[in-house]
Amino acid sequence: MDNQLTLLDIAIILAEQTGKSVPDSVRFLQLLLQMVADGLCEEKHVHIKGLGTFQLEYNCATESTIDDGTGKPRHGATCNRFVFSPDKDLKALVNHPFSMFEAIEINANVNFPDLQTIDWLPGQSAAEDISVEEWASEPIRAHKEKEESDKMHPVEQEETLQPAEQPPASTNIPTTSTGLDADSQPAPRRKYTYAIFVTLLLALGLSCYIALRNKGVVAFSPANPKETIVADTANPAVCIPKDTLKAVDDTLAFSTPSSNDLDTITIRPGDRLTSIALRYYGHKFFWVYIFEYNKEKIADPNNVPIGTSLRLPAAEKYGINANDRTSIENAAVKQTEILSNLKPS
Amino acid sequence: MDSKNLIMELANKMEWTPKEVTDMLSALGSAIGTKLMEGDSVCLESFGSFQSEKTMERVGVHPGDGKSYLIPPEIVPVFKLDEALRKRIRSLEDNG
Repeated sequence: MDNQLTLLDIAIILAEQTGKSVPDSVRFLQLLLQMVADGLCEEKHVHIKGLGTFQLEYNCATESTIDDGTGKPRHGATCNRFVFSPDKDLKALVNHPFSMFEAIEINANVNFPDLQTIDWLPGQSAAEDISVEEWASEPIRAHKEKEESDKMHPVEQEETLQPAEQPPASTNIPTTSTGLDADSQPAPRRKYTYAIFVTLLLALGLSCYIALRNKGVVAFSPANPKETIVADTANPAVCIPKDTLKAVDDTLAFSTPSSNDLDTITIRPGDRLTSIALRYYGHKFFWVYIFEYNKEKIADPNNVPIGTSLRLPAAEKYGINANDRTSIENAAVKQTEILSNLKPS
Repeated sequence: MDSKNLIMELANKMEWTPKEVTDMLSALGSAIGTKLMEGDSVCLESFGSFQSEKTMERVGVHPGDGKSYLIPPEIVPVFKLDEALRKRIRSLEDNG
């Protein structure tokens, strides 16, 4: 079922049924079809017994509406027609599965609204009106001729269609492009709006950051204004411990040391260079630099007279850094030198 | 061209007897009919194709007495021209 048989398939069947060879059957069929085509074109009528009648009819009256290209129907136009009428035997053979059904007369008051109603004569078959092919004849031929020539010359038809198709495509392109433009118009606006929004967010965030940072700077400064002043005047690179700041005398805090000095102190009872170094530089070994910086005033680092005013050097001058082991080791080496050079009193 | 002339011409060209041609044509009708009944189609290149179609049941009205009949469904043989033959037939109009 639903198989499509070719000429060769039919020739094989014929060869089996008639005892002829397959090549002879193929040749027979080819010859038959050629003769039927020639006979149809020349005599307009060919009958094959057991198969049916192939017939051409010209200038037939037709009820079909064939317009002349204006869109208006033209009733009563003539047409040419090809008709195949199957033989009775062929119809019976093909309809064999439904052969048990027969037409039955129905009462006049019985209606079948879903069924098609036709004029019918008993014995008439539906096969008679199916294998019919009509085409317009003169004078509508002038319009149909173009279609026929187009069908006969499909390449030309395609070529003609292509330009015809192009305008619609081109017309579509603007619409789509406008559509795209229409769609693209909001897109830049959206992008522009988005960019502004992002910029505003960034500016807001930056301002908040700056404000918080400013607050943080204020919060990081010492609560004691005196300590603040000392911190301002002191070398900012120096990390002055809080304890050191608290131990500084108020009078000393307001003193104005030289620009390169960390501070200027006056020796009081109980002060030692090591304790002062520990206080100001974070490690006692750094007394050597206090001694070095005030060498002209200190004859004996172990015995500094009370009331002696000493200038404390800036930490950068001697690379003083209590967190740097190298700095501490250098100070220790210098301590050994100084102590070894001291003359015994 | 009627069937008789067709048989004679085929016999001459095939160098067969008319009976052999008749038997072959009969077998051809039977083979095509059988295949159409089975739901298959027969495609003959450069000529046309035979197919089967099923028509639904219909109501037929006798144009003479107006009686109505319930026409049962049918399986009918259908022939469709091949494009090459269709062009040839329609070109006959242009030439004459």
